[in-house]
Amino acid sequence: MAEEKNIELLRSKFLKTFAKVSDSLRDEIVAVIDDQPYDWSTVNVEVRGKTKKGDQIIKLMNQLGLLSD
Amino acid sequence: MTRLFITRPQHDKGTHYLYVWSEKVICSAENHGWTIDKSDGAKATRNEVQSKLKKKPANFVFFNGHGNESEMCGHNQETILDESSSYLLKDTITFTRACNCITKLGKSAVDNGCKSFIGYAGKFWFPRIHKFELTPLKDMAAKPVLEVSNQIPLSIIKNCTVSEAVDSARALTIKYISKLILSREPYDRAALKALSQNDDSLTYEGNGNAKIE
Amino acid sequence: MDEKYLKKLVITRLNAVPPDVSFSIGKYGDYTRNQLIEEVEKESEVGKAATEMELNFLRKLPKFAKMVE
Repeated sequence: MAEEKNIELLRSKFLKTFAKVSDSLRDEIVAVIDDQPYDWSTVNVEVRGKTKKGDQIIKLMNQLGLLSD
Repeated sequence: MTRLFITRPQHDKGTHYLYVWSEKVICSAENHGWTIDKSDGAKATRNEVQSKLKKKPANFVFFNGHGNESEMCGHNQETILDESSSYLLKDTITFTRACNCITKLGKSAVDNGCKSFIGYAGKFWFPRIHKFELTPLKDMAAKPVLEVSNQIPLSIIKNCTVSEAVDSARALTIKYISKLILSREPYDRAALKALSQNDDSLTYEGNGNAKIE
Repeated sequence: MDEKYLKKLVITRLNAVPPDVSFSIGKYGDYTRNQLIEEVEKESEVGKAATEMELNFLRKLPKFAKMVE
């Protein structure tokens, strides 16, 4: 339950941050999972789809300080 | 007579770029009727630089090249100035276009009478495109970064205060960022990265209201 | 912070830099994209500086739009 709440918070943090990134900068690679690169836009797709991959990515992004409050 | 003292080593690709891009600063100083004292290329040695600073004190000192927290380097990375010789910058405004110099060298210089010391608290980066190695002024990746850092000595020469000069560089950074963030060009992305990094570390020690009288 | 993951991310990002671009990094000299990748792998001083630059840039991405307001 707490984990799910935490993920929801991270998702909203990601979406808030994503909204601030200029269109042309959304192709910047922000994550690598299983040797596959993900940019802002592809992470957005995963987060909106509430996928496990999306959850994994936003945890990593948060740890690196890439998500703003 | 207002005097500019400038060092421009030219022993590697990076210093070659700084050498060429500094020419605009020299031209501006000449157009403003300043006297220019240069230690260029292989003449940017400790003995030469320190001798000139002793014999012909400058109003504005502009060091180009490599550096670290406590040293400024010249030709072939020889230390031309360090904390023990920072007293030679007494009564000057100094700008170091090099990494990290402000951290210890800058503070030491101000403690020893330098009016104001402008520099970078971190690494000074710039990107360059290989095909422009022999024509650095045409390098569109380097241009934003080196124009921004040129803005500091150009502003000082135009009689701005130190804080106005730094603000002017920051304003030009913002102007470039506003263009570069709209670009998908990979060379522009490299410039944006370096601009952002250098802007974060640009600062000064000493009197922000200091200017060339 | 997961240093191994950070290294992987930085290397993936550096692979997206054009091969004909070098970065001049103060006293360390001039580094092509491939040379920077090697330095990041080796965790040298230059590699750490490159990692710091990439991370700082990623953290700044959502702030650029506000900077130019």
